[in-house]
Amino acid sequence: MTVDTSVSETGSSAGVKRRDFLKVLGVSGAATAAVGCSSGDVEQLIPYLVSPDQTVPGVSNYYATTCRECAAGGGLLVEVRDGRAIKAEGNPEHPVNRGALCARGQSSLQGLYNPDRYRQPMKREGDALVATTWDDALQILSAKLGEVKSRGQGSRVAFVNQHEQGSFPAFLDGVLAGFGIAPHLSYDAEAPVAVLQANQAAYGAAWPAIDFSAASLIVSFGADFLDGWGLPVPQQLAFAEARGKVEGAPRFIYVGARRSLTGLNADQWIPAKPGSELAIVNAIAGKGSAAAAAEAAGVGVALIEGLVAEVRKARASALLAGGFGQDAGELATAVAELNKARGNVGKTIKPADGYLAFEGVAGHAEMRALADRMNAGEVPMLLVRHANPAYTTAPGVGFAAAMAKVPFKVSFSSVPDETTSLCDLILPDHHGLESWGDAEPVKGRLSLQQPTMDPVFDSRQTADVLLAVAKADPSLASKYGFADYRGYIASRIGGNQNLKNALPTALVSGSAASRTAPARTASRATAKEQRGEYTLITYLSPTLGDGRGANKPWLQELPDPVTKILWQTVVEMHPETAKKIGVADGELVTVTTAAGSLTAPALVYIGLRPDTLAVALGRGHTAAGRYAEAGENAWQLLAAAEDRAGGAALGATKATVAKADGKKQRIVTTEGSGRQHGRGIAQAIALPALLAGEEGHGHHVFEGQASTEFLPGLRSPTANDAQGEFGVPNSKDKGQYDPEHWSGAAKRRWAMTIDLAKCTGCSACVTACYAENNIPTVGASWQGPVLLPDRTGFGANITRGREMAWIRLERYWEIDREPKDVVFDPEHPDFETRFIPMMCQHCGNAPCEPVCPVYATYHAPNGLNVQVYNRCVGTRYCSNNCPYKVRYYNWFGYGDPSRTQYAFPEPLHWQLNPDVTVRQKGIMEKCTFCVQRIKEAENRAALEQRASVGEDGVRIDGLRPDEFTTACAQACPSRAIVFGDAADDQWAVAQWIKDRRAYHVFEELNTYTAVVYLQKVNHPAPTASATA
Amino acid sequence: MIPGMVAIALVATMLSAYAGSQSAETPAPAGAEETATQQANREAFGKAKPGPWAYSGASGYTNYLGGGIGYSPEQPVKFPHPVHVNSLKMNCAFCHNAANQSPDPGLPAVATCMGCHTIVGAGRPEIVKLTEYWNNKQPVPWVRIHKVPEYVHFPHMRHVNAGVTCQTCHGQVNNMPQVFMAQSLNMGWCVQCHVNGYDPAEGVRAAGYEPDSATLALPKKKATYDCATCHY
Repeated sequence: MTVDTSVSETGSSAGVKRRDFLKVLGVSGAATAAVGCSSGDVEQLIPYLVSPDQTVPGVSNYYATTCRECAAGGGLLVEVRDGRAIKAEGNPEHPVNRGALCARGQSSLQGLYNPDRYRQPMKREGDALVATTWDDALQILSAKLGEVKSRGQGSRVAFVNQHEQGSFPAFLDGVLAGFGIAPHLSYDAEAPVAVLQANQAAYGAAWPAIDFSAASLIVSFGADFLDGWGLPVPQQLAFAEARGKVEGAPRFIYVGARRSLTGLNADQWIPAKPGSELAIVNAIAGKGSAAAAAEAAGVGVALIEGLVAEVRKARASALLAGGFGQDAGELATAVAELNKARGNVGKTIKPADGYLAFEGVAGHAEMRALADRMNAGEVPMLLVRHANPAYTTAPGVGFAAAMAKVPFKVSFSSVPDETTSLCDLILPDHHGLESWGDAEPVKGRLSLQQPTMDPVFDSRQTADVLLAVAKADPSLASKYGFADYRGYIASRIGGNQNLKNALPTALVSGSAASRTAPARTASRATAKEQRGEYTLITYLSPTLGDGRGANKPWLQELPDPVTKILWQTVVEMHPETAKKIGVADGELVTVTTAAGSLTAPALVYIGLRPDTLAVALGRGHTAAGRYAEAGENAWQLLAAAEDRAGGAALGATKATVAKADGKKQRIVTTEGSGRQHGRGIAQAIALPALLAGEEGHGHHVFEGQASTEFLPGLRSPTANDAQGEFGVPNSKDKGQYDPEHWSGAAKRRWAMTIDLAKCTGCSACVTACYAENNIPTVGASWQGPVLLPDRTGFGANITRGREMAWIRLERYWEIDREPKDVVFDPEHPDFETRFIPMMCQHCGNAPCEPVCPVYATYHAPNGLNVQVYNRCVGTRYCSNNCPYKVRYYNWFGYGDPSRTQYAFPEPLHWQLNPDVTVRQKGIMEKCTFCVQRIKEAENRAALEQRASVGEDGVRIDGLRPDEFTTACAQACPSRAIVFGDAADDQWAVAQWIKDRRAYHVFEELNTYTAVVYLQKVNHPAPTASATA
Repeated sequence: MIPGMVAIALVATMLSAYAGSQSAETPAPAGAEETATQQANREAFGKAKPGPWAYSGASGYTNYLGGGIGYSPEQPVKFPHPVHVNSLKMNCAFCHNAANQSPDPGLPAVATCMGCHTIVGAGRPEIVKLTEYWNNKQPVPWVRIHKVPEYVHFPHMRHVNAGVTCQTCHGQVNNMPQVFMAQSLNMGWCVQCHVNGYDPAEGVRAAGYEPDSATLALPKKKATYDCATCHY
């Protein structure tokens, strides 16, 4: 394959050691040019020095390992080509994620290849951090630890680790104990600490599995199980599976002041005031009246009465408590009691199948207590690894200021962040994809972590650094009988051979080393009077989390599934609120709390109570790299920092909001209109109507024209039909479009179905597409038009509609007026939301094709609508004529390293998929149905001699049904996307297209699309359906 | 199936392309130095008129690297293909061992060279250069000659396993003391076979041999020719 490695022989490689580069390069060409004409360049072919075993140049290896992007510990299969990890996918055999992978997990690659990663150890000299050697750094660390030990100060030293499961925490505590240091703090700003404690007390398991399929009713009290509450991927798998049943699928009610992504997936929304959830739970439990609860919640009493009745009538319900109020713990306990009383435990809530993700996690209270100790001068040394408490704590904690009182601070983080930039010594850890380790996501199952490639930079795994330091101390050396951390992992599962045997799946029975339970710090949930007429909800960003994903351009450019905002922080407010303070979308407002203030553009959001405001966490970093600077930091608004269980109370701060100086910012969004305007793009049907056999939609009949009636299956099973019907019917030579053609090219009809009953809008497919297809991110501040400096800034390209996402997640409100005109009705607050992934529909009769003057887009015999980059001259007629608006134009040289708009600064470009062309400036691109995967499968079939020639002399490609799929379908944690051959009944897609819910978008345009959607299914309240 | 540390690479069929090992009777000049005849031959290639298929403008004369037919850069080590292929009867796939199983033909690792040259010819100047690279743990920076553009995907294994001889595209490398580009590799040249079919007998002739009767009896091999066959 022609790999664009783009590392020049003569050019500087900005810190990547040439040798390291060569190690991983293999035989791919080291090109001086990326794309386009390059005549005259001398290019080199660099061979391996020694060929690695088990690799064939140009053929991928797959390594199973464990994801470290959140606490869940999901399984990865990492595709490695010529020594470089190029794609992260879910491990199908893993008990947590069963082959699916969220956007954050996939973006682990952009952490691995992050251009802002530390490239070697650093130490502080004056105000600056300067590069040093490992020998020097280790010597400093050993000396400092020895000092602490000899002075007997060990018990006062603090080690803050990003929370992770597995054996490392115990290993770390063991090493620390050798120096007299207390067990470390395992901090996770995303952990719902209050819920964990309540669950542990009530169920005996901190995070029970939730069996949505067994439930007839799901009620979530602010539990955002699809976007950040607990373990999003397994929860989404279970939820989508349940909803995909259609008949007998659970109805879902969301109770909470802000409709999160989870809330938008609910059939009903009860917008209870923050803090009133407990009253509602009590009403259901019979401990209070519905009227009182409705009063507290600020909603109509009928809503509460309906909810109470439904829960009491439900055969089996799953009641989930989330919420980030100060009473989160009490709420979770009350909900757990209710689940017990309703007999749900063991049926829908399964403590026995629980996840161990959050064992031993420390919360906000522990960080606050640590800051207090540091402020008092009690901490002689602070060590931190990956955690970023200087950013992810409330300003009242003053973590960064407290760090100044610590004489010596060490960081093991591999990327810069606010905490690490204040440290005196940085010993960069390997990235998770370069490291050894393990996790125990479910009891008795170990998920191993192995390096997928040689380290990108001069980093070292922290475990090995600690081992080296411990072994340097004569009194400790004897405790460690293994050479390195790999040896430790092997010794835990019975030796090297066992490790080798387990690595192909990276799954093995066993348990992780048990850690000492952390000492809990008493919460300081203040009852202090806060002022402000609004309650501020600072929520964990579904894309960036608590902020750890902020320096990954894929995640910055992934629109928030709810607001569709990217690269920007906005203040969400109800349209009524916006009217009241006199602002419209984009006008700057200042939110002030007891802790601080923030100025950002206003955004009208109808899924929010008028007495609340919402701002996403995660953006506005000051020292976390080039991409992380986008937006504003909402952590600085957190005034009521803790709930009574010691977790972060993200929704209990009071705030005021006022119009700022009248200035305006463009809203950085990918949304055109929030409504469908009757176009029937995302269709839905209520379950009773579906069961009654009603048509979910009508079709238009035009006299004298062919019927547009939807036929089960694809109207044109092979491309030839499409060509034949609409082309020249009596053409003599149909060439490869003839089904009888020797090549068999027209035998396949590649198609896709997307089940909107399962799709939750999570957008994992979008990131999967970026990763697979070398799609450039275009929203960084320097990627705008250079000649128009006033049009730059983060998201400048996006505001001009220049995003490149080949697949996008449309989100439509089903409302009868513009969002800005929506009024809040406490009796009828509900509205419906529909999500629909939209990509090239590969029309059988494509409007883009006839308008291309240079035949750059054409219809392949197998049904693909193909874009030929080298033919394209960039007229953009095709995009103008596309009814689906799924074609994207390269306005700049995003693939050209010499341009400021270059989207893959070294070493991000190491991730580029060698099977996909990096597009050049001035050409059009779009979804290809992952044609490179089709080709790869065909090549594999040919290599395995499965291809043959039939009796009629027509070639048979030998593909097995469903033997491969597209990147979006592979990643989808809802399993909503199915790809395959619609002309062959053995493929799953051929069955799905015959589903009674199937429809084509804009079928009245006679485009005969190859993407078939299955209608979303709504589950109305039982009473409503009875009257309907 | 979880392949784990095992490559997806599949057991491929044996390399069926003709290679020098069958050319016992063909005498070939050994040694790294180019003879006057060979130089003339190479220059003649450079001046060769493009065939009738080379309709795509200037690219018929120059390739993607700016070299074009006859492009023959000096290599850091003067590796003599004739010695290895013709005299020592080594099969192409001995060094380019991925050509029948991967899109990428593979370039021998320096260790592969040193497998023999630790002993064989240890004192010769070019071997000394090679040994220096090896001792310095540096790969040999070969100068690339053949390249198709970024937007073209050329799977070697599909061609090799279909019986296309290496020489069809690369010329008689087995007779080139210094490798040069023998074909334009432009699209017009590619589609000759993709549209009209590949004649195995012609492939054998391109390799410098007379096809036997069995080869002559073989039908032309055909290939698909819609754009997405190669462009995606």
